[in-house]
Amino acid sequence: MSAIAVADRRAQAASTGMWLFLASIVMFYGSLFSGFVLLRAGSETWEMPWKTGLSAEWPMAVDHWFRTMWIGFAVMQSRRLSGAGVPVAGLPRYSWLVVLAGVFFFARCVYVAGWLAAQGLVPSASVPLACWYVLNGAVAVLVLGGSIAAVWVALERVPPTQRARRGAMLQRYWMLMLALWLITVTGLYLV
Amino acid sequence: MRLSDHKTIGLAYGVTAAGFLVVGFLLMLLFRWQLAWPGQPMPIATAIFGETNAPGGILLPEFYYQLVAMHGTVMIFLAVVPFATAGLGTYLVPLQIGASGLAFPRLSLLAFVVYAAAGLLMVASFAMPGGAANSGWTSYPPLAILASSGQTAWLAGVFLLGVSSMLSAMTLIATVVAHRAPGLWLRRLPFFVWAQVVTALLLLLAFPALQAAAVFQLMDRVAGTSVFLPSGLAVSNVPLTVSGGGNPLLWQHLFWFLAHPEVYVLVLPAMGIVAEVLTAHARRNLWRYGLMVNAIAALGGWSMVVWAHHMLLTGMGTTMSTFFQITTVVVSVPSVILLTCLVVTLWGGTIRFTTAMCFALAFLPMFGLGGVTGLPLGLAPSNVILHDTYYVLGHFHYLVAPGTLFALFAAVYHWFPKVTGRRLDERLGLVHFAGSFVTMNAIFLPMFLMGLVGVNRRLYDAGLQYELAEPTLRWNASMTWSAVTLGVFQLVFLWNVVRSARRGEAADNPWQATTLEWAAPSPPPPGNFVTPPVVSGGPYRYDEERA
Amino acid sequence: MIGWLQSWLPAPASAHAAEFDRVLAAAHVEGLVVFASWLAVFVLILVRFRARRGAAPGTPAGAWPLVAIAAVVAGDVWLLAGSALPAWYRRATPPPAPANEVRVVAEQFAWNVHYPGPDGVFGRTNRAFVGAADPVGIDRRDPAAHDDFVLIGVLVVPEGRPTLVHLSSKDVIHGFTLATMRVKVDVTPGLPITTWFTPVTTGTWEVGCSQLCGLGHYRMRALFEVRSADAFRAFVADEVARLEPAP
Ligand code: HEM
Ligand SMILES: [Cu+2]
Ligand SMILES: [Cu+2]
Repeated sequence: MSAIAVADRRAQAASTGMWLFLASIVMFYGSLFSGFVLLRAGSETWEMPWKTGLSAEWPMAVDHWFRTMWIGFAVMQSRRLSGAGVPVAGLPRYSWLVVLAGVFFFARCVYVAGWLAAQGLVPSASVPLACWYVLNGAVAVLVLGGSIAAVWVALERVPPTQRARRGAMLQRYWMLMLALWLITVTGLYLV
Repeated sequence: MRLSDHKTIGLAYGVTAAGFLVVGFLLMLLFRWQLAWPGQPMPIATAIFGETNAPGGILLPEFYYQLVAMHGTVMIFLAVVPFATAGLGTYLVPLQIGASGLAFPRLSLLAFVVYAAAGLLMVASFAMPGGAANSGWTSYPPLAILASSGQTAWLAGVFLLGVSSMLSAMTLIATVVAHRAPGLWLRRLPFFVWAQVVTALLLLLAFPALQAAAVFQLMDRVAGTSVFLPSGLAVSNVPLTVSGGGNPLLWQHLFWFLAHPEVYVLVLPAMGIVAEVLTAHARRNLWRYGLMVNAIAALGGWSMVVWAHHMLLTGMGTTMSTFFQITTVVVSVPSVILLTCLVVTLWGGTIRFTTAMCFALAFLPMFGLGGVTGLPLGLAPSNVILHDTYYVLGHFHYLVAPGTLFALFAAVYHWFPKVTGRRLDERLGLVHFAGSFVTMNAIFLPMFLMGLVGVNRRLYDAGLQYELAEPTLRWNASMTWSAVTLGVFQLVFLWNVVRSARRGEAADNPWQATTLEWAAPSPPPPGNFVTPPVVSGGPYRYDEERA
Repeated sequence: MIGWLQSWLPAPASAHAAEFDRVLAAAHVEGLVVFASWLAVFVLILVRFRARRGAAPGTPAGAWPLVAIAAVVAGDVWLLAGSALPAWYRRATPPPAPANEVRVVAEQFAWNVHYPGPDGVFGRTNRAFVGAADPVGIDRRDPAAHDDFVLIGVLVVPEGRPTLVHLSSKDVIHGFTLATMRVKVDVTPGLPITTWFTPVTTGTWEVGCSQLCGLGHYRMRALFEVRSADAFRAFVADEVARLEPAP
């Protein structure tokens, strides 16, 4: 088989694998989220103390906006990394920006969780809080995973075309992160 | 032998899973002792299991319930599923599609390592304080949340197994999508490959639900949350110090969303195996290949909307229970189609009763019995009579023990020459088959009657306390002896494998099978094929032999 | 077939038992017919098409098996729509009033039965009053509670009248099972569960637990008795007479 055909097959396999991986993440997160929906639909009261609590220090809406920005930023940088299909040399630095965005997001999640816990709003205090920690925690961990993947893309020595393909896959992953995060915020705060 | 070669990984899976099969079998023998002779001391039990589990040789309920929960867990999650999917799939699928290897060999290796680690963790949890998980393989809360620390190991293990099966399923599907030999269109894939792909999709999409459930239950156990704990719980009238406000049924929904498809994960690869063996040993192409592929895909897809038929008696409304009864009856249609197609395939063939063929043929009626007895379980009124009785045990064991296990044996006899270049001894093989067939039925057939009588499952004393169970108690001894005899016949098999691997009759393609894996040398060298195959027709070319 | 099956089943002693048994029998009859005819074809094929020297190559089967599949599917539909669902729906309606009512509180590993007494009204319960003698915690200050009584592991109901059971659990999931009544329902803590049945013969049987509920699951059984209407009245009167006068 020619070298081009082999590379094509590799790319096809990688892309298929990525879609499958994303599908299983959707099922994982979807299960957590539907658990949350079922619990919430089944309870008469649904206290959300953190809604007001944290706003005193730093308005929650702003905070969410910032965290959404970090993920959006990672999506944009990974898009550049993919060269929007056109391989460009010297792109790894965009990869580091993706890493940074993810780490900031994760750190902010940890900070907010710590702040809540310090107020006595620990996961065991109520089912709504348990849901809050689990859903946020899942997104935070998955986002950190995106950063780790970006580190790997930055460090791996591969030809530019191949790195561009990695970038495209990375971008797909981060778009899913954006979707999960928005669903989380909507579910926990807006509905 | 390269570590990330698909044959190495497949063999590693096969050997490890077979080891766990032995573990699950031994756990079963222990509790079968207790069922046959409740409360009677087992010789040397105290020496092996210690004073806490078996004082004076008597198995305590504490230990019994660990044995039952871990038998189910080990058999399903660590033995049969890994053998049938990642084991056979990783070894055979690249060969059957004419590929030189896997799409992601390193991920596949990682999947194996994670699987082995999870399995060791779960089995090692017998040594934890309070022992291994003891709340059944279903781990229903609140019971599982109150259980000792072995349950935490169980949850962690299940989560890891999800990661592992996701990696191997991804690898398998991507391999089939991207690495088929030239000319191998989807319509020309062996049925076994289709079965593996559908199974992999099920694992990939359903396992995450159990992982999510495991995360919630871990939170409940470790972080003290109440996701599955309603308000006002009290154990021995002492109120639990938790917030409450959760819902125990949420676990059951998430659990069965995985666990029902998991049943098909146990069964679909077996159908794939049987299709390959029947065609080769009866010299017949599959009857209605296209219908079968559609049926197996439908079976896989539809199996994701039947989960709540395990929950018909939880007090759900009639609309819900009607919905799930209908979906359950519908899911039986593709199974009937598959079973019919398999048997009609034999029509007009020349059937050679090799050991592999005998096991594959025996799979059909055994699976049929398991399927037929699923019908009264799926209808709510008869479910009321049979739910959680020995009838259920009979039903699903017929599917997975004489069912899937027989298919797995058929696979070993059929593909052993492929893996080793040598045949298993046929005479020993037929002894193994006949012995297993008789003893399996002697164990599981009485379970249907026990269930009709009304004996509940998961009874430490086999129903000694219950008046209604009285007439069935004496059957247990013969069932246990049959189980022991079944074990003895497996020793014959083991001996056969060990001996034939070194001294068996050399054979390259003893069955004159036409699927692609036999186009490679036996055993296949690294890279599999001497000349990369080019495909110009369907996988089965037995009908053409005659023309 | 029905007779043979029923010789194994616990005695059918409730109004709906016969109908449930019929569903069970119908499912088994269909299963048996399908399995037996499938097996016959299977054996026939094995004999007829076994490899023999000089066996003439046969032609593949035609389309007739598809008809068999269609027949099985039709049988399934008939079973579901004609037998199972109607029986299930008839059970889904609330019991014809007036019913005898009783509360059953499950805990590891006992069935505690709270009877409302002759007034038919349950008194309030409160966890604070739970003790060894009263696992339910009846609040005797409530006027409705004056004639309530609790029996541990004894469920007595009258013949010929529907009994409505209110179920709850203190700790884990239990499975309330009255085999002769063809009643089985999960008792999940935190969920309001009711079930009902109309006994048609008197007798003494057992309450079983069908859900794994802990180490004592195997011994979580209770006495279950159906008495004639008169005997039941006498039983209630007798128990009430035994109550200590309220302080
Ligand atoms: C080969 C011989 C086997 C025998 C004799 C056997 C026997 C039994 C028995 C007697 C029980 C009921 C224990 C009780 O309820 O007290 C049981 C439970 C179970 N078995 Fe097997 N089994 C065998 C193989 C298998 C296989 C191959 C699988 C799965 C692939 C399996 C899966 C299960 C499961 C899931 C349970 C339920 C455990 C629970 O209640 O949580 N068994 N087995
Ligand atoms: Cu119980
Ligand atoms: Cu129980």
